[in-house]
Amino acid sequence: MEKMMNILRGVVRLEISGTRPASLLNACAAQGIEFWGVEPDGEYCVRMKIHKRDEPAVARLSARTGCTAKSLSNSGGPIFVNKIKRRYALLIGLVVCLCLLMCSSFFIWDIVVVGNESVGKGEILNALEECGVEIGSFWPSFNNVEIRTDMLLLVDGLRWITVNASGSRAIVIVRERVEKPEIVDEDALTNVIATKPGIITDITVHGGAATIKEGDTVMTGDMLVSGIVTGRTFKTRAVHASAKINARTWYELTVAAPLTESEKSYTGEEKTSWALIIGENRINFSLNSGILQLGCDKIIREYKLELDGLFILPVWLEKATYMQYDTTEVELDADILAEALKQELSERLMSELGDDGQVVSTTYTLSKSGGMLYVTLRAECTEDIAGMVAMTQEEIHSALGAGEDAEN
Amino acid sequence: MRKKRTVASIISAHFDIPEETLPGVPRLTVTGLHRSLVENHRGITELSRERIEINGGKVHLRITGDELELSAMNNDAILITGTITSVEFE
Repeated sequence: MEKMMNILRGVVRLEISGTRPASLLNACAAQGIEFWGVEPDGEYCVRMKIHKRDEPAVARLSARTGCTAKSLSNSGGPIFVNKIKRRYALLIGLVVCLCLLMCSSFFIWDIVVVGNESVGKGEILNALEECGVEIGSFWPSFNNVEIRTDMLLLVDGLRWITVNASGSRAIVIVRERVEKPEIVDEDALTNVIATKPGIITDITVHGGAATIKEGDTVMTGDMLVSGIVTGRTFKTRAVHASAKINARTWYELTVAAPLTESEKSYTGEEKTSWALIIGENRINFSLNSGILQLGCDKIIREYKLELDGLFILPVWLEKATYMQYDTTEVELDADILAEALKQELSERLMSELGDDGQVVSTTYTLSKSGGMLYVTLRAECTEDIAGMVAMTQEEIHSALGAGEDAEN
Repeated sequence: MRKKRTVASIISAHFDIPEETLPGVPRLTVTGLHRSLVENHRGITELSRERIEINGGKVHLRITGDELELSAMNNDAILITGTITSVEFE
């Protein structure tokens, strides 16, 4: 800190020569003149540093003590200011640059979206553009309430959004909509049918009349619990049927993958191209730099002028590196591939079973054909196969009508 | 031979006051081998890379060493840095 202060105030390095240079040092100390970095050079010469403003006083004291003070170097703030005092164009340029920098901080040059998982960033940015939030927009004019209202109407998957400006960067924070759970209408007249084929192992009826028993084989769509209930003490009526019906079910899932794959190997040949991006405009410094080269990987690196949290300038350099590669067919290890495919099948089975299902037994079979590896999973599971369907009006009328005839 | 006593030493002995707090008494603080602070001095008499002599009034200090440098100096104190090998009093 002290060094920085000294530089700002200006520093002069002096060479003091005389019969007794120490007498000048004593005189400076007595007068309160600050000096430092004293380096004796022989018996009659001393070098030291003083502040620029003390140079005239030291000159007077040196004359009084019979020494000569010679300035070796000047540096620091006042010397710099003197040098550029007459350079009007430089001064004006500096001022203009500072003004432009300050003005540019009122415009958005970078937009960052945070919090999105299923809604794409591109969709959000396109919608923001329609609401007036885009590169080059004037952020003090943003109205968060209006932006939120418009964005929630434009993008379905969002439930909340806010735009915060930090320097020249707009940080868009979103919260996505949570799907509402399925609400079962317990007053609706329903039947319970089988959603999958299987052998019934367990029946728990909450409402309605079961039409099957344990050990029965059912196919998809078969009625399991009817919503039409007939009793000895009451008339035939239609109710909301609901039940939990566990059954043994069987799955056969197959997946295939090629036994060879293409592997990249870089040849070592590289090509670099540069471009200058100003806002949304691009200036290429190489010919055909925008065309994607076949058989090459393109790696883009951006060099931006920014100070995190303070400002970001709308000008940056883009370096595109094209790395050529050759592809070769490589044979994969069949065992490792088979394990990966088995894992995939297992995950698929679990997703089809749902939370309540359990796997009783599994069998994997492998076969190779035409350069492909086929893995088949056969699994026996137990799960709830009950599914509710609403009764149609015809079903209700025919069932209730038949019930009345039987009573009569 | 009777030792000559300064006024400061007489006062400090009589009133039980630490002598270094009295004006006109030079005070030397050496920190390690590389830093030495001399307070209540009356100026430098000799200055070189190997030897610095300081007038302390009744006492004359001679600091010898290598690459000695006068880091800072004002009316009251002198800070000397470098490799200090010996300090002598006269």
